[in-house]
Amino acid sequence: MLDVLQNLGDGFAVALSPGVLLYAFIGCLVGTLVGVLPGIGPLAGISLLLPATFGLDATRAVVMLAGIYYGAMYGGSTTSILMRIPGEAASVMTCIDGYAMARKGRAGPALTIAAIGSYIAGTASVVALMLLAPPLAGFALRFGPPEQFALLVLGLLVLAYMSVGSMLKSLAMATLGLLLGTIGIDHMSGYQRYGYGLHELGDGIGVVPLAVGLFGLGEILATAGRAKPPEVIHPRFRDLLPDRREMREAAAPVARGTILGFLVGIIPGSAHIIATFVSYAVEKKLSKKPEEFGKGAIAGVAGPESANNAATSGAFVPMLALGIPSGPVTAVLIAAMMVHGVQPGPLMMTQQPTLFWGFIASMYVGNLMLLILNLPLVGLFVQVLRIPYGYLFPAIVMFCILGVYAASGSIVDVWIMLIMGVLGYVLRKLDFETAPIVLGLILSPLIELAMRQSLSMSNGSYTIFLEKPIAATLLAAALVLLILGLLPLVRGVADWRARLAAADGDAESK
Amino acid sequence: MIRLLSALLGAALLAAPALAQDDYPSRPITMIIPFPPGGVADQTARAIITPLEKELKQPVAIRNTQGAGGAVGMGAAANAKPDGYTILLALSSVSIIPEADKLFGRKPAYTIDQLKPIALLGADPTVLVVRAESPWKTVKELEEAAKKEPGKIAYSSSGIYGTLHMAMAMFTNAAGINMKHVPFNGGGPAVTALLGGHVQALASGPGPVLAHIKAGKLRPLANWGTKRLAVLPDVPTFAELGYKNVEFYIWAGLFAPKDVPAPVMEKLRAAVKKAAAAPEFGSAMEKLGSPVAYLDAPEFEKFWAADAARLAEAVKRVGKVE
Amino acid sequence: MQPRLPLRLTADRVAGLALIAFGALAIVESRGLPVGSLREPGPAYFPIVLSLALIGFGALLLAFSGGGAGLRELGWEEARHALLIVLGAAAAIFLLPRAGYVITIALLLFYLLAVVARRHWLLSILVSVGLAAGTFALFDMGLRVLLPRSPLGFF
Repeated sequence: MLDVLQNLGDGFAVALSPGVLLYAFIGCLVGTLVGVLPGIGPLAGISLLLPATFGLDATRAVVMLAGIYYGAMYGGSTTSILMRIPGEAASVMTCIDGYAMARKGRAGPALTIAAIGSYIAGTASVVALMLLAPPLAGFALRFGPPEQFALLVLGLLVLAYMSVGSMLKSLAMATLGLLLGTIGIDHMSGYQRYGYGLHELGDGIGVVPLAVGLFGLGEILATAGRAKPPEVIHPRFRDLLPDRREMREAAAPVARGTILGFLVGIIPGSAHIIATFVSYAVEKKLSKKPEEFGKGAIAGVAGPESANNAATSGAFVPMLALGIPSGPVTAVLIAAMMVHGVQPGPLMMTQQPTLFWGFIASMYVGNLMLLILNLPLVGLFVQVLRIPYGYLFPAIVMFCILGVYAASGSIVDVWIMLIMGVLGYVLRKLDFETAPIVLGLILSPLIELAMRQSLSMSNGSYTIFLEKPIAATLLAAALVLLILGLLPLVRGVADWRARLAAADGDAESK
Repeated sequence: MIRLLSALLGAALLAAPALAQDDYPSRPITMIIPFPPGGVADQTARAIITPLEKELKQPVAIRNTQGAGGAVGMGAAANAKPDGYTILLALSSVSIIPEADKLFGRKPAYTIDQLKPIALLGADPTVLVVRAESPWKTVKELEEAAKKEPGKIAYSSSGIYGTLHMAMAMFTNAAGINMKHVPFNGGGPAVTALLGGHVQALASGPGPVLAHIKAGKLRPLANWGTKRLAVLPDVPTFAELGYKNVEFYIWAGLFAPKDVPAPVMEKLRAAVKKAAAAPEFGSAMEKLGSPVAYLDAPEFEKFWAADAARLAEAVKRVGKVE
Repeated sequence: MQPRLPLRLTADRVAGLALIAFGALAIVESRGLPVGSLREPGPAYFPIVLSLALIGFGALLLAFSGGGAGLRELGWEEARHALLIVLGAAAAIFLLPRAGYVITIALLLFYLLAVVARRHWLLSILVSVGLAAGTFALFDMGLRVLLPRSPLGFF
């Protein structure tokens, strides 16, 4: 423990030296900018700036690139809250309550809580990363296809709890998402499913066009023509910060989101977005006022945003301890380190202690820097809401098109976004939730691949899921959840029918 | 007057293409990368554009056009206007995709004769690795174990009909053995699966596994090249071990649409040649674990033809997975 | 008070029917793909299972939810605007690879501002050209995220 502190002290000496500090700041600034702009996520941001770091020494380069990574994660929530355009997949959940808060004039608190939550999650995760990286990394490696499958099944069950309205409708939407997720070339056999001669569909429907269409454009279609357009909001200065009640309601969700996000983040190959969905569902389940979710509950912003940032730091565990990427972004970071002659992995801590501890220390510094950078920006960003809706909505339509095109460079994706926008509008009119579609689309290829890989490993025997201890434990947890979820349903069937009939009668007599 | 005008106009129209060729490049050049940012292709591209821009005196912009294992971007480049302002950086998979399309009776996104090679930038033979705890010390031992229990030993790959799958298929075909294929979604997850012990073998480029070999987690058995690797001098090649036609490289090369005019092509070739020799490119590639292996267009064309033939054969031998 | 008809078109019933239709379509479109078996699922296995589940959920919606507002009662006051926006966006996406980013986006913004939102034409022109050129400068020239060019090649 003492030598950890000693090393960390040396690390801070590196991280706080003016040269390194400057590059950390540039990284955070660029990351925030890149995260705020729709369509350019952390991956594109790091790749764009990679050549610019070739001339720097390793510590500065890595510190700057890591700054871009978590800077982009901070920035991703901004467009979600202000315009309901998810800047990247990880901020889909923030769209729901973040945007609802913005429409109630609480955009400032939503943005502030997102930044504070991200800061706490980021810092706490670095502590965990520093102390627990080697044992956690060994645990992460044990996640093979059967364990992945069990984890994803657990994630899928959470969908059922996400429903704001009817559970039946949520399940139907999740199934629709899962079905849409099967489009594309099958990973196990090479067959193209539902291609219709479009090579662009080879990788299936992307999350960005789907989410931007369903949330961003769908919202515009539903509100732009209202006889009474959404009001222009003039945020006052004291409305920029969360009040005492909001702070209290956000505290526990931040803590839970941090732990959840970190755990999901360390597992290689799992989709980090699951952490945000699960966090949202958990907060809704634990909330005393679940009916507020979807209408601007601050816990619905605080939890997922913290989970998102904790997962970002969690992803560093397998990268630093083992040198294996847990996703495309860490893969780029590993490459960036290798270009500078640093090989991430078990030897890094002993061979290049200055760099390792400098990197860890710069993560503390970077998170603090981002908080300081983001809080004043809140005041700037909320000014967007002062723009009259007649001018704002054309700009949002433009950002939907631009963001989707910038993300993949494919015009087919922009068409998909338009179709999803229409679908999002219709579903909204018919009173369906769209978030389960997004999660279904993301989970579908992962869950199918993991299941078929497992079956291939075991020559078609399903006992593989029970023989592996981690998989069996996760599946048992899923079973418990399922039973708990079904119990009230079974018990309440009579009561439920009665209510339906009553509701039916009400609707008919209007 | 009208005649004069039309004569001038005619002359201008005739001169325009000639002029355009003379001062090529007169505007920025787009380099299509058919994969998402961050992979081997993307890293190679970002390392070469800086010296290339100096040679061409024009910006070279990278466009990541991803999708369908690269088919979308390669198709876009193959069908681009052949004016030298769109070039492609592709990997070995450029020869596999049209074959896989053929296998499934799909309309191919492009055919390989639509592309004209400019230069080869890098070529790493794949390396056969197993876990360090595994009992197999040589290829022979692995082969015997696989013969004893056909279909028991599993290997991971970057994806079905992907480069790593094809490399392994060449080996299993030549050895006449049957190993179980578990495809993953990309090279990174395939390495992780081997490290975690979920599969027992893997063909991988040297870059991603070198550190794990040095750390004593993985054991290299053979490489797919014609000579031993400088970084792994003790590891024999398949050719040395007596396997025929087990040769495979993960290579990165630059291409242009086939109808690019000869003078433009000459300029591109000359510029790439100088850029590939630039020390900044060399050191970046060295550190990424895949040293520069430059070949000019004529030699690259020969290399590519042989490589494509081997891969077409491998795809046919694997056939459809039912 | 309307007489109660068994087949009154409520939102839930329409949705249920649409889900059933989509599931059936997906099953039809899966023909030609191997289904495989429970031990070795093929490429069509998951899509068919999911389609059946979707049809099931659709049927449940149809059967149990007499509730929900009638389609007409939903209020479609914004539908005309939504249609105008969708048509404009579709035209823009069609034009984007052909006329380039700046021209297309400027036209789309002008259409949305001046025609759909009925803003003053001069202000509309200024805002559309400014936004289109500004975002192009930021993304394409600043960040080098390439956007489609016009046939002229400059922007």
